[in-house]
Amino acid sequence: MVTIASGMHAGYAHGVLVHDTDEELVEGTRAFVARGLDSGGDVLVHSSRDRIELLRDVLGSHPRLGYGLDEELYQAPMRTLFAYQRTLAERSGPTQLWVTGTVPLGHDGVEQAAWHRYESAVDKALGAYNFAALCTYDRRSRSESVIAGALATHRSVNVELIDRDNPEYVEPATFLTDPLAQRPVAPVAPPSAAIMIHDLVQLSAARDLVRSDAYRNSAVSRQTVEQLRVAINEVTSNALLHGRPPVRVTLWTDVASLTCLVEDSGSGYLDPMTGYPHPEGSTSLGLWAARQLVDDLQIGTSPSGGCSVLLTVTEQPL
Amino acid sequence: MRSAGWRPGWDGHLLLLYDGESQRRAGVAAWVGRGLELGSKILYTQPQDEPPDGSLPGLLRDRPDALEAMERGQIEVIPADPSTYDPGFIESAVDGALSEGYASVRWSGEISTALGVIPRSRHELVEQATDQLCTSRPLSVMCQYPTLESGGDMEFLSQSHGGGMRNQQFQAAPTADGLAVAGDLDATNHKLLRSVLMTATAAPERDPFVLDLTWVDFLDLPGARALLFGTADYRSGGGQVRLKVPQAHVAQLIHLLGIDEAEGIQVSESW
Repeated sequence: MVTIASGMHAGYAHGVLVHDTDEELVEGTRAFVARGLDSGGDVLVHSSRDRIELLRDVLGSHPRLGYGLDEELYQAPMRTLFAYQRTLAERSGPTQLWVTGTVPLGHDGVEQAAWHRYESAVDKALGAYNFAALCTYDRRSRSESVIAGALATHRSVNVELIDRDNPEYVEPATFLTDPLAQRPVAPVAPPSAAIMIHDLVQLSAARDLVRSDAYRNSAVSRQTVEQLRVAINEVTSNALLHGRPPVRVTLWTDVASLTCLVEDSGSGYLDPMTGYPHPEGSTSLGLWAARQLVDDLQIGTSPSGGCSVLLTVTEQPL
Repeated sequence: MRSAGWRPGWDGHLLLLYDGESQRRAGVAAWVGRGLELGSKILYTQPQDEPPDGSLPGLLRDRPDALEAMERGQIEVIPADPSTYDPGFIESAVDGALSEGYASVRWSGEISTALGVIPRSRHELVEQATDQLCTSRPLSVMCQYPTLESGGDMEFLSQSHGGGMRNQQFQAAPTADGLAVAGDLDATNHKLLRSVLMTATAAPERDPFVLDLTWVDFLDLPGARALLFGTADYRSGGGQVRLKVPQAHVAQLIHLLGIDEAEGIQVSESW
């Protein structure tokens, strides 16, 4: 049996299956799909292009069983997370959504850690929905640290086809302090630009600075720059309204990435997971929107004791 | 009438809403600059006892080209008195400038200047007559109003300024199908935007009402929600609003906030 965490939907589950053989994967997936279909839910199985047909051969077809490609569903962690949230928020009726598959490996340790943070944030972003997920990890092809990250980010673990409470699970806010999370920090290099903002009227000056600095010093696309400007605007506006001015906006530019640190002068604490749940009314709407406009958004504390928000956008070189 | 994709500019019967002297100065300088580009005769009404800082030379002190134009008579200051606001006087001044060889005429002044010499009720009639003149003659008139003191008059002001309104961050002007908005729509002006939209959709001549955002450079959450709230009454009465949003980053925020799924709203990313 798996304990249902307070504040989460009774039908919510985020489990992990760590397997050593293909047979374990097939049996675990088959059992999960059968439970989903038997419960009357819609089931999605996703995998890489080379394995999806194998899974289809094993699992067959059903009106409520769909198949998806990792390359389409799992392009970037935050995009994937909020796409699931939107799908779940827009679903009408009590039908549960069951999803199983392997969360893709990153190209390097940094990307892999971003997917670990994604896995950890799933509880916060999707916990309010009638949603069951089983993430599969192949111990033969993944490093110990990847398996450790997977075990730290799932509330339940699937052992011998049964979901159990996972003793290695770490709450999302705590996981961010784990070295496995590789929580992004501000660059140590000198910033390319900085500005102090005292009131809302000055927001346009910060936006102008970001645009001019990004276009001058990086090759990041216009769409990405504009998304970052909106995100910075929302975070800075929040800092002015809910923190304390002045707010310092600092920017680092690289050829393929932009990093921005927004720090207010207050003394308040902000939950580092703010902005993941779908907002009710206008509560946390700004941070919820900002998270969807950048690749990573980290909430922390500035050296002066105020709240800090680090925003990062990255584009892969062609 | 302007069609889709048209960008609100500095011509016609314009309403300049300003939040302080620096904004007023910037607005007047830009409007004068446009007149100099066009080779227009520029007339400016100010009180006879206007202090130097608030006078036209004071407002244009950073524009040497404008100060030179004043010296040669292209820009002319007209001391305010009741006759200055007589539509007949305005027409004759326009005719006089055209006879001097100018292709067009521009005229501006601040609301308090007018109310210093004529009552508000008469000034409202002058605004309406001026709106007519700006469509029948080669005339652009920019009326300067402080935003803070003008909120209650927004409906009348929007209806009587066919050239649209401007403030420091954004501009809005009527088009053949609805309203074109340009500039930055953000937390500093979302209340004004909402008010402009409520007025524009109070009695629209077309349905669907087209809100052309082609020239919106920046949209934040308060700005996006103003699009929703400013058209709420119209939509709740069955009206349809078509948002023209060709810019991907603007369309993305509208989609992210679910505005494109709100009752009575359609989004068009191309035309």
